[in-house]
Amino acid sequence: MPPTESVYRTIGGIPLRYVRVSPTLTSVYVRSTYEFEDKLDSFSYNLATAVPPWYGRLRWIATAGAYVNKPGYHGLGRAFDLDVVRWRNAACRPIRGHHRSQHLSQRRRYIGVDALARRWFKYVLDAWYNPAHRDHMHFDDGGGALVFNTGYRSDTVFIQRAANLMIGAGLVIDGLYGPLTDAAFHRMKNRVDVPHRVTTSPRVYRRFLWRLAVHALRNRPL
Amino acid sequence: MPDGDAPQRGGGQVLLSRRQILTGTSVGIGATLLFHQAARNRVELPPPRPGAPSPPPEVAAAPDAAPPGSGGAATAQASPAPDADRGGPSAVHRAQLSDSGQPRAVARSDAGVLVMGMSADGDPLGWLTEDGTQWVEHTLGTTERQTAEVWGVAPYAGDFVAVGATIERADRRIAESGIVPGPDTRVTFVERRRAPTVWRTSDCIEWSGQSFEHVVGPHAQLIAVACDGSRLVAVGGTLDDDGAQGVRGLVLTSTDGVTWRRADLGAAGVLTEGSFTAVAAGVDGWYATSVDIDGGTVWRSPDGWRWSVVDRSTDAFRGFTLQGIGVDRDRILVAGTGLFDTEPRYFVSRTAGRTWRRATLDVSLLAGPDALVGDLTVISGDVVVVGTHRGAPVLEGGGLHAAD
Repeated sequence: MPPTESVYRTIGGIPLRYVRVSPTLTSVYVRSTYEFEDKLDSFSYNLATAVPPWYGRLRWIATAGAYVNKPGYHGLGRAFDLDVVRWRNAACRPIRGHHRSQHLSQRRRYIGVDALARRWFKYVLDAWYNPAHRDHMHFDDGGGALVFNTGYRSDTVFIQRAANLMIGAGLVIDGLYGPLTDAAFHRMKNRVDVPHRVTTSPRVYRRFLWRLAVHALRNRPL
Repeated sequence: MPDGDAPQRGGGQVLLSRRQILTGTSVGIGATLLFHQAARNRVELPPPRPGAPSPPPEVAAAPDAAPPGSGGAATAQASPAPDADRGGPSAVHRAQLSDSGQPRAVARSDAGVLVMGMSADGDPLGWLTEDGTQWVEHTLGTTERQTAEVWGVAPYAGDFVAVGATIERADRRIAESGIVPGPDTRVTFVERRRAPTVWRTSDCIEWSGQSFEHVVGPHAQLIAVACDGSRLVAVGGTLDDDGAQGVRGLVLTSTDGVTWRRADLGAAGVLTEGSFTAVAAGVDGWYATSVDIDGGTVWRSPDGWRWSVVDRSTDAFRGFTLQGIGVDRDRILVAGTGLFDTEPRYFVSRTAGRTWRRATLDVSLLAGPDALVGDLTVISGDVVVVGTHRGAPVLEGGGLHAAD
């Protein structure tokens, strides 16, 4: 399929903005495959529906871009860089480093957005993955089926950070899936009543991610 | 495809065994890749038009003034300019290469003009013309576990040198329910290794490949290559732990096409979600483009070995991706795409990259919202771009004019 078969300025009806050139909000065009656009639409719908009512309406989403005509999933029209999610009364701003905000609620909101993205995109590269992603989240649907993969650093650092924020696990964020990380992941799955087959069942893993996100976006521990 | 070991020629095709194809990427230095000649005479360039208009003098350099290594007279034929009647831009060269595929780079050597790209199935693909009228399509066979990506091509000592990566990945099948594997299963995979690779060919059928996994870690790739007549410079990037996104620029240089050295880019080589994207040789040194999360940047090197960012180029191309660069005497030309509209953009600099002006290129297909540009280069004074127009692979060339 052509990587640029679809060109659009909204995802799920939510306007896309660019905030890296100037503080003024600028509309942007995003190109991708139709299939990837569908996943972005679903992600946008999740952002609008997983939050508590006080967040208000989802107003806009800032991106650093999607299509790049060179190697990688950006070049296949199957990647997206997220800078800001703006609801009427709340925001998640990876571009401002909300992953290390002094407010626990903002750090948990970041984890909630991160979890919702993982329901649709196999690779979600966030602030704990490497220094390059301290100011944005990268999504792409490379890697195939949506299951938790203990061999991916990107999956492991997310679970380690989520366990620290949501159950106070006190894990070292090193991207290595060892027994401590495994035990913390088990505790989280038990607390949201999800079976343990997250490495083999996309359905189960997505259910876990939804329940984790709902708690995180409400600033409630598991 | 037969399983015999020897390549079989017949009826205009070279038939290869899977084992032979695999050999090319499995043993590193000295490996051989063989392209499968898939189709002939798919598309013809339009015939020469008597009295075709020449590019304005300030636009096209004389062929004898072309930079070293850029080849002699252009092979693509002068074509009618179908848009001239309706007042649109007119391309000097134009060819629709086939019905589908993505061209990524173009080069000319003694063997002809070669456009490298990707087929609709994602396999490496080359379009070669020896006489400017007939294009022969070559596809590279790959396997599920080991694939090749070819992104750049350049002339070198009468041959072509192409660059890209060879990729190994581990697959496993996953059922949606996680319980009963069956026909509804999907593949999940981990990319184990992405090794930057250089191939060389004289006929576009048999290629010798050289991988560099020991030089740059588990995940890296080359994206573009250029030659100044004596030195080759290949550029690309290294990738992160999962092999998902670029983290640093990568430059390899060679004076013999066999021995390659990695240039030290220092702290400036960090490219968040980026890499180098193009490189070109000029009379006063080398120029390259990179992209990262914030946009494009132009680099300069006096010798292909020591690189620095051209002042203010990062500001000039913030919010843009840059896909190709060419040098035409004292002009530097780049092709890019912005986030704020859907059209390819062309830029020209007469100040060694310090200041840039918007430019228009004499093309009709690779302009406008239906076009995507994969590469820009200068061949004998003509600016040549490759890309797609409404999904069809296209080569076009002509003069490039600075906008007022």
